[in-house]
Amino acid sequence: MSENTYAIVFDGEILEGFDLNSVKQRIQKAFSMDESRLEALFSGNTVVLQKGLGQFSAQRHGEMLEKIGMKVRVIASALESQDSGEAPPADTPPTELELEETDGLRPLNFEFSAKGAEYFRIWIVNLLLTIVTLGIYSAWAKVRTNRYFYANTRLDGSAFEYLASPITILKGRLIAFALLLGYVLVAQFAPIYEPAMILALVLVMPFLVVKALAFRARMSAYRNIRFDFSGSVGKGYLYFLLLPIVGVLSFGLLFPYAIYRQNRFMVEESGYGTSPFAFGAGAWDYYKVLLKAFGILILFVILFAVITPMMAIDMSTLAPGEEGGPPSPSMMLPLILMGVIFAALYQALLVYVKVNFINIKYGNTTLATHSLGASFHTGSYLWLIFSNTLAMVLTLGLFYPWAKVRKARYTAEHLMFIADGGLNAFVADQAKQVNAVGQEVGDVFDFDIGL
Amino acid sequence: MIKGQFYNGTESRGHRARIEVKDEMVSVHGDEGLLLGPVPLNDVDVTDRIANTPRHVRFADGSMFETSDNGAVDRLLTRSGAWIHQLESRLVYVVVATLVVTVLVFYAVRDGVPAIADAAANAVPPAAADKLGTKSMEILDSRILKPSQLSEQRKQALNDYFQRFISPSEGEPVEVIFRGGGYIGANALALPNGKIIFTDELVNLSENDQQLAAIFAHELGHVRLKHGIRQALRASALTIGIAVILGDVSSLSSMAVAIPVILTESGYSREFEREADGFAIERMQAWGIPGQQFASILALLDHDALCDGKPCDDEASVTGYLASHPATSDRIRRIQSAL
Repeated sequence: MSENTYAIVFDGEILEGFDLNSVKQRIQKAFSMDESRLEALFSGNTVVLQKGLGQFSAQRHGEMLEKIGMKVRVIASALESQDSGEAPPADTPPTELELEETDGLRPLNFEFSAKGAEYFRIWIVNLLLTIVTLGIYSAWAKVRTNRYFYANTRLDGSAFEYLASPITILKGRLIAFALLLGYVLVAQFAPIYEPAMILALVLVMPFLVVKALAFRARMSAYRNIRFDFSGSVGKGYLYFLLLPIVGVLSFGLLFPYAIYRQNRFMVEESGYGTSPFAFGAGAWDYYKVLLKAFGILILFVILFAVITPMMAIDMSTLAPGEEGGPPSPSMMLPLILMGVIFAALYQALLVYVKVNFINIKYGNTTLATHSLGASFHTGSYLWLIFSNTLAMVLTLGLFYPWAKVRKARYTAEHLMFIADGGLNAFVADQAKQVNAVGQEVGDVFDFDIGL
Repeated sequence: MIKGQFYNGTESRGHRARIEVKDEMVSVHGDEGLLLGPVPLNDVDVTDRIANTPRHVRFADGSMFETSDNGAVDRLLTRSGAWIHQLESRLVYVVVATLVVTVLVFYAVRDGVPAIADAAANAVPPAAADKLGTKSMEILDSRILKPSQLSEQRKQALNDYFQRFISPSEGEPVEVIFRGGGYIGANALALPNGKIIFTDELVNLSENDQQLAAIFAHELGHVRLKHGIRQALRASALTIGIAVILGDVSSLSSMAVAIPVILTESGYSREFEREADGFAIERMQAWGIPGQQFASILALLDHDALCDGKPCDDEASVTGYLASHPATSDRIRRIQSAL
């Protein structure tokens, strides 16, 4: 993971097609600058506007500044830029201009300070106590884990909080455990009832998802104001059950629409204090992504369909297995290789879709006059998953804490919050009671909520 | 004194503040004066220390004080429950915890899960075992097996031959049925409801009926020792155990968890096969059937296992580990050493 920080520098130039005076006016308005600072900005010296940004938030900030007409450069941190030759001239050290006013658009990173080795200690003690208490401690372990990850995440200097109490979590877990036990035993001993159980699970799933979303939201706080989720169970059934069924029945044509409505539901019904989140994406954004992915898939299917018959010439000499013996490995190898490549490709496409959906969701979410953004990237996310899985297999699972921290860090680094002024204007809502059952059962059966 | 930010819980605006503790009373002071208190120390709720994450102090009116100064909080607003942090912060405890967890998991998987499953197996009512067997039979008949091509006479003769070895007092009745093997070829299967399946290919492969009796003894072992139920219960217990420890079932599908689970279940299968072999060797002695017949039929079934008439020595350990049966050469060796 890159630890470079990036800076945005301005040489006093504006982009083509922009008028100098109107750009200056916009800068003044956006950053509440007085005349003297404005002059310093356009003095012809190289000015450092922002520094210490992650790569993607630097790019994002740069894009924003270019929207008002400023021609900016994104460079790696000062120390490195001297090596790469992109430094401002050595004799005129860059002037720093504090743009972190309380008014104007400020792109903020989510700062994530957890460390794998540090979390390993928490995780291993959690495991030990969980095993020793035959699972009872797992509720405390979960709270401790979430508190660790939340509190290591900061925005604008303040940390997040996870407020759930272990006892509530434990109650939910016991019920979830009972359900899981029932399901597993039915699956093994009375498989005839398994379809009925699955149907029951499907029917209760939207209820659990809505409860889980509500619980997780209300147990999360920032600056002592809680988040909220106010989606109704009825709408949950509409978006998580009815629409997907319609999507399937329409031969997949309406499935992207169902996903769009699900994401919209999850964002629009969420809020921070009394302020609701708003969602600005449309169904077409989701269709675009899926059409592209589908197109690539078709391309590869055609490719493989063309290649396989050429490989099959060898296969015709395969005798059927004698007494159950396998065909010789040398003939199977090309086929197995192709199977592996195809599976890897399919995985990559799934990640491509997931990454793009995440970017759409966060890129179109706003809270009052603030907005969120995401710059997840298929390639780097694929590498993250692949390296995590490989390392976990090689270490028999001990790499798990590092894997979890890496994934959380990736998320934090690729999310951005564009604050319009300060974050002081939010107001708390009435605290609502919700029990943990929904969340726990939802968690155990892993409904993919949120990210 | 502890420095931090004070959030009153009504609005997200924070105030730079500091906590002072005096005579067991806590007060919060901001730039403009007193923000809260003094309140009794006992009325103040402080979060547990987790590594070096910010601490949150909560007051009865819902307001909150956030600080990164863990040292000061530990000194002035001491908490019980700090022992967990002690465990996590001292490297020696972490190393010990890692070792203990590894050992516990190893024994839990190797001995604990089987023990629980086997105890539960005795409690399973015969009706459940019946259902499991019937369902498996349906799947086998519809997907894999074909009707038997053996003559009625041959089937009846074999059945009578096998039944001679069973006394009603030793347990549930056992029935031998015959099927065409399909792609499983020469094979024998035991179902939990007491049905033992022989495929036509196996019957035709055998050189004499005593060899079939050897296989019958092995399969009878599966039935009498309740391997079907025990395997099902072990798989269930393993699944649930992992889900409880990891906290959710999605992890079960991840490669990192699936591989060890598959290897473990293979391991349990091989243990059962070894038990059934042991059962077969004993029974064959009691029935007066030469043990060599068992070795011969195994060799016929897996003709790769004999190298110039002797068990091979260099059978790859990987295939041995991965196969649900122990390596045939190992089995043959064991039989021959018992003779």
